[in-house]
Formats: sequence, structure tokens, C-alpha cells
Amino acid sequence: MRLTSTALLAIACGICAFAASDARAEDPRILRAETIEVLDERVRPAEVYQDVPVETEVLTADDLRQLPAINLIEALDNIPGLVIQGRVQGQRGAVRIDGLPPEYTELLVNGQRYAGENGEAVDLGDLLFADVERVEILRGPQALRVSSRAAGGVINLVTRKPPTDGWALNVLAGGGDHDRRALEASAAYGTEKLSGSLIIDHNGEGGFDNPFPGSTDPRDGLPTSFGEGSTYRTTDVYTTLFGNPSDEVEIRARFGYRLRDEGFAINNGPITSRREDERFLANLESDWQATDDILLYSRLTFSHNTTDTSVGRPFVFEDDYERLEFGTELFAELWGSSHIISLGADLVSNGIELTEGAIPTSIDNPSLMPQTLEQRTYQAGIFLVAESEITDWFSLEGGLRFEMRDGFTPELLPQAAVLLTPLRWGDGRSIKLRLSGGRAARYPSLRELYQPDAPQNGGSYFLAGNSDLEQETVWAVRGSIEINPVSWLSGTVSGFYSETENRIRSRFQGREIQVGTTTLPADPALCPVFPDRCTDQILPTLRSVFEADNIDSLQIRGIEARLEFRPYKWLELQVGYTWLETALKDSNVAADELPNNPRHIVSGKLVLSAPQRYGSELTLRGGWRDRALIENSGTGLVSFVTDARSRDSFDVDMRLRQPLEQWIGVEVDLFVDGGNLSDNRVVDSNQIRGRSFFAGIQGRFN
Amino acid sequence: MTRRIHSILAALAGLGLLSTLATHSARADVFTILASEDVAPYSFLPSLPRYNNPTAYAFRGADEGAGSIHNFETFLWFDVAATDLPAGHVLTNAQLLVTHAFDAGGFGDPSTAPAELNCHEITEDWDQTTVTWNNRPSYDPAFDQITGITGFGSILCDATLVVFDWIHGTHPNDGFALTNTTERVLGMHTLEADATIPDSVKANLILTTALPEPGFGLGLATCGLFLAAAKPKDTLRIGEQA
Repeated sequence: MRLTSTALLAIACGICAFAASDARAEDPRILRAETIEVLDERVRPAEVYQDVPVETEVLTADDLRQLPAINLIEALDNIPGLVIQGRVQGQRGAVRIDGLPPEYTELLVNGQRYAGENGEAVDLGDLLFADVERVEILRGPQALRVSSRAAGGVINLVTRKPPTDGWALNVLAGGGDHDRRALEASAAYGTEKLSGSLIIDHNGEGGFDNPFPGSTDPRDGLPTSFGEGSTYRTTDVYTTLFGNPSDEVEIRARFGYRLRDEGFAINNGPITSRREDERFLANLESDWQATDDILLYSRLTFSHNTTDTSVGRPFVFEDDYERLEFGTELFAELWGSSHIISLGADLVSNGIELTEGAIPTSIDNPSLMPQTLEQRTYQAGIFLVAESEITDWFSLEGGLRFEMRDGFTPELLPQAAVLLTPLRWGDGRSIKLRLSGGRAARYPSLRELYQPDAPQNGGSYFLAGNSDLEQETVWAVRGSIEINPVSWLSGTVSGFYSETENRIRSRFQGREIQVGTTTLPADPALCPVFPDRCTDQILPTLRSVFEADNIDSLQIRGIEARLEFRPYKWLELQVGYTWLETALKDSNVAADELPNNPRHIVSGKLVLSAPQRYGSELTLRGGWRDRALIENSGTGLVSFVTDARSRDSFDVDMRLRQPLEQWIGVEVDLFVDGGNLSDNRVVDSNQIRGRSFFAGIQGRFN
Repeated sequence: MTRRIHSILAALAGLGLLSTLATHSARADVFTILASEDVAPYSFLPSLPRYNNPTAYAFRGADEGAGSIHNFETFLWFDVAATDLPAGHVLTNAQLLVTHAFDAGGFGDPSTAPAELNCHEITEDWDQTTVTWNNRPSYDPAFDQITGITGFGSILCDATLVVFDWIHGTHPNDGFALTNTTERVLGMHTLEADATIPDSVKANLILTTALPEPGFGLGLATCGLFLAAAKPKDTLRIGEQA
């Protein structure tokens, strides 16, 4: 049935695609700005954000090559304003922007969802990190077109577009301690009419050593459930096809396969449980420039993910997602100002199939059987967006999204962003003011809604969904001032505030499940007082069911400040500071702030380059994080919050890169990474790897 | 050492008093009081009030795999006052009855070692709706300890002296704390337990009273004051050495 509906959607998209007619190199709806241009041979400008109303930071392929990173978690580490938590259980990289929980950060590859359970927080470590052209970081609410829940922001990874005039090859290979290895290869070929690329990316690493073996001090953090003997392997295959049947039409097709295989071991022991995720992805996009001023487009995405796990409890979970978006963009010039008016609609279908594993042997209740679940939901949205450059010092972006999902109250999601440039002294020298705000909504995942009673921890309690849940809603605002007094110096101060209602979390609401019986022996001594104790009593043994509920409200505010300093080609310095305060309201726990939330974070990056004839480059990157409330599970959940705070932490990473091109004539780099050189072991309730080293070779051939 | 001597003196005095009462009472009554408040905070969910939970536990455990600490303590409060005693009666015995009705998997490997239940007098005011592991009330060293618990059934702590102090106003009635320093899980039903669970297996206080012969009332009061003065006042929190 699902395949049938998918096929219908594919046909609809195909018709739309071949009816279309213009080419656009990239999806303009994710980022309207151009990448930073190099203004002179000596230095590149220090300006951080693109010249658009929404605060948009772009990391180019060159930027990424400098960083000690072989995955996106490492690449985005210590970027001011991004808080990335490696959870002891759950996401290896849970990303928070503007302090909002990670469910409000949308993570995309080429503008589309790439991995993760629908409706839940996406793991930054699950995104493809190979043949990257750039990474876009959009801060502030982005609920109009990208995703209705993107209240914190969006991170969009864009892969390199295939060439239109021949071959391009890209390879990376490397290995290090902690069983780390990476092998990446991509091949691309293209002509003006047709081009394509194939990326194969394999990564593997071992588990984490215990931060402080034997320590019972909560400030020493949690031992990881991903012990030294554990394994983590991913393999991605990603194909892109670009077709340009005419000057007015571009068709893009992408297919992806991802396999993530994890084995969990306690300390250095044998693997005791496994989790395997397998995901297929297909994406078909078309743009048709109908006239000089009108663009029609369509996007169709399909993904299917299967999780087979024995971690915590055995179950098999299938999650499919289909999305069709179509719309038009109108370009207009009015009274000297330029405008882009977008009108679009999207239809989403999401289905799950859950097959629970065997009931734990500790449960003695024949009526409890392994449960299965099959659910599907539909969602539709329409949006109107206006992007206007009124004058050269005033531009804005605003719009409205109306969203409906079956079983939920419809949502009206307004959003606006303004850019004022009151002073400009020429290229790269200006003062800019930005203000953005909007409303977002996160609908509960299908498992949060319908999860059947699932025994946890061998049946000591049960977790269950709740079909009466309401959507979470967020109002968020963000404002900033950016000063570029000279092209090689840039300073930015941003403030943000958000209010979140109806946060979903599990709690006990009085329901219990019998897991066995207990025979209480007769007690003659009590018999005169309690006659029912004169004989044996058979009592039910009951276990609590924790059901999802709309419990919490959140208020978050903070300030982000950063300074970029690029006075010479051989020196780049970035310093950032983030102040973050959270207030937990109306909760069922006696805590008034979120766990794992350091109030003060200082981050920095220093890049030193040797003269051109050597080309060597050294990057040092580090950060200091204030103490933060610890939670006991490493899941990030408020339920487990304690009143203990972690120690503060300081970590430093480095990359030494040596280009070989000047000697061998091809674009090949050698690099050595040092991770966590300070051997920092404690960051909130995170799992962090101790000091590690990685060496590799990377080449690009055209 | 001083604390132990005080305890022995108090126990001896109490026994003497009770035996005297037993031989001179004209009539003895036994009645029970069901706990009015009960809550068992949990170290793994240290900010969560569990007052509405149907289960209470006492144990200390660790999940070696995840390195998590799973500690439970149980806090009880009984609405007992002198006015609750039959007219003219005096308290001769008070037994705290709890029933070990279940254990639990999931809190690490189940322990088969004998459990020990420690009964303490709580030394500060508390409210079951707000008690969490983080703010749980402090309590005195155990006034009674039941060891060798290896199966389900009733457990009785002799709370005579504690209740005596309460009804005579020597100590405020802040209730009992139950702890278990072993990893064997002692599970108990609370007031919020399912309707199929009878009150007799929930926490109860069994009071025995007597109507003394004339002249013994003054002796009782004197003994009560002596016991109250002899009782050490130090409080003890988990993790501290007695």
C-alpha cells in the first residue's frame, strides 16, 4: 500500500518535472546568498554572515579542509552559538541552536531530510560528510518552507555539484587510534546536458574509554554505554544526477543508501547488544523557468529507514517518509526595489511499522504478548513568502505558513526577518542590524503518539505513547548587530529569546501492568490484627507505565558574540562567547533549568599558514564550557536532571595539513588531526573521546 | 560509643516500663494506623517527586553496565497523636509494619544476599508532594534494624520509643525513613497502589495501649521524660558515618 502511494507521488512529480523548463544551479530556497567572494589575493574578508536578513553562516570546502574533522560533528565543534552534545544514549551529535532542544534544529543534506526518525531529533553524525561543497548554518526560526519545527535553525550540507565538462575524482583515506578509520571516494562526470556523481563513504570507530574508572563523583560525568569494546560503522552510498534538457529546465535526482551498525560493549568486554539502521533515500527535483519572472518547481522525497535493535529491548522499527512540494516563485521589480514572492504547498506522509521483540523472561503474565504497530499520518501545508530588497540598506523576508496534520489543531506560523545596513563604507565595511522572529510547531512523532506498552530494563517499568498529545509550539526571536570596520575584522553580537509550550516527555499517570504475582506467606503474629494475613495471600506484581505527555514549558535566552580577525593570509583568528540561560516551567520535576546547559561557553579557532611555497597549515581549535547541571541517563531528558553540576571543561583539537600540489602537481593533501589534546574527560552528561590522533590523505583530481 | 550506650539505656528503660505496664494494666487495646503519607524518592530520577507512585523501595544498587546508581529510600508519615489513644490509655508498644511484597529486575543484577531494613526517625518536616531524592529529609540513625531478609513477608520495626516521644510531644512527629544498605530490592506497596492491594500489606503502625492502674501514669510520664533526655539528637544523612 505504501509503495503504491509512493509510486503515485513519483508519477506526479515526474509529470511536474518534465513539464518544467529552466535550470538553476542550486536550490535557492535554502540559501539565497552567494558564498563569500575572495576580494583580493591577500586575505579573505572576515565577514561572518551572508548579506541576507536571516543570519546565515557558510563553511566552504576550504574552511572545512582546515578543520580537524572527518565527520560533521567534528566540523561544527566549537562554532559560537552551536551547542553539540554527544549523548551517552542517543544522538552522537545532538545540536542545539539558540539553546533550543535539538528537535528544533533541522539537519539536511542538499535541502532534504537525510536520516533519523521522523519527528525526533536528528543526529548530526548521521549526515553525509563527503565531497562537501559547503555547510550552511541558518540561525533563528525557519519554519516557513524548510520544516515547521525549525525554531532554532537549520544546518544544510551541500555536496559538490558534478562538473559539466568532464571528470572529477575525490578521495580521502585515513586511520587513527581508537580504531578510527575513514575511506571516502567520489567520482563525477558531466556534460552540459547531463552530469552525475557517485559518493561512497565508509567510517568506523571504536568505543570510548571510561572517563574516570571507579569514580562515583557525579562531576566526573557518566560512564559511556559505548565502552571501549564497542564498534561503530557507517557506510553511505549517494548518487546525484543533474539533467538540463533545455536552458529553462533543470532536473535533479538523488539516491542514497546508508547503513549504520553499532555494537555496544561494557568497558572492554564483548559486544552485548547491537543496533543496525538501514536507510534508503530518493529525491527528485525540478525547476522550470517559465518566463523571465516566474519559476515553477517541484520536489519529491522518499525515504525508508529500518532499525533492528537489541539495545534496551529488542524491536524492529520501520519508518517511511514521503514529501511532495511544489510551488512558484515570482521575481518582481517595483519602484526600484526587487522582490521574490514564493507561493508553495507541501504534502507529507509518514508511516511506521513497529514489531516489538519477545517479552522479557522476568515477566510472568501470559496475556502480555509482543506487540506490533502500524500507523500513518498525513500533513499538508501552504506557505507564502516575500523576500524584498527595498533599498540597498533595507531588506526583509517574511511570510506565513498554514499547516494541517490529521488529529491536530491547524497551525498558523508567521515569520519575519529584517536586515538594516545603516552604514556601509564599501566592500566588507559596514554596520548591519538584523532582527528575526517567528513561530514554529513540532508535532509528536508517531512513536510518541502510538508506542504500545514496551517493557524497559527487563520489565521494571513500561514506556508508552499517548494519542492525546498536542503539538509543541515555539515563539522565537533573534536580533544582532554586525560590525565590519575594516574588511579583515568583524564583530557580531546577537541576542535570542524563545518560549516553548507543551514539551513532550514521559511520566507516570497512574496506569500499571501486571508482570507476575507474589505469594505472601501467612503471618500468625499479624493474624489477630489483620485477619487477611492469617492465610497466604497472592498479590499481583505491578509495574508502572510511563506515558508521553505535554509537561514542560521552556524559556530560553542568551547572547552570542564573536570576533573574526583575518589581518594576513597566514593568520585567521576566531573567538566566540555564548551566554545561555534556560528556565524550565510547569514541569513535574523539581528543577528550574535544562540539564547539560553550560551558561558560559568560550570558543576559539586559530589558523596559521606557512608561505605559499610550503603551503603548510596549522589549525588549533578549542573551547571552554562552564559547569552545567548533570542528568543521570545521558539521554538529555529533563526527567533525569540532578542538582549536581559538572566540572568546567577545556578541550583543544588541531589539524596539521600539508598540501603536496606544489611538488607533485596534483591536488593532494596530507593531514594529521589531534582530537581532544587536552584530554578533557568531563562535559556535562556527554560522552567524549579521550585524546586521539588521526592521519589521512585527501586528493581531488579533475 | 556514647550513642550506643544511650540506645541501650533507652531500650532497657523502655522494656522495664513496658513490662511493668504489662503486669499492672487493667486492659490492653491494639489498633492500627495506615500511613497517611508515603513516598520513595529515587536517586536516578533525583528531581522527580514520586508521591503518586504505587511502589516504594529500599535498596542501594548500581547498574554496572551503564554505571548508574539506583538508590531508593522510603519515607512514611502516620497521623498519630495522644488524642488518638483511647481515653485514659497509655502507649505500651508501637510496631512499624511494612511488607516486602515484590522485588524488581532492571536495577542491575538482582542480589540474593540477605537484605537489612533500617528504620529511622525523620528529623525534619517534609511534604510527600515535594520530596525528591535531592531534597529528601534527614533522619536519625536507625532505631531498629531487621537483618536476614530473604523472602517476601512482613517486617516489623519496634517503634515504641519513637512513637512515645511523638505522642508526648518530646519529638515532633516527622515520620519514619526506611533504608536498606544492601542491593537486595525490598519492594513495598504504597497508598497509591492498585485497589486489589489490601491495606494490610501497606505500611501500618500497630499500636498497643493499656489502661494503667492508678499511680502508674506518673511513673510513665517520668520514664518518658527520661527516655527523651537520654536519646541522642544527632542527625545522619546518607553517606555520613554514624
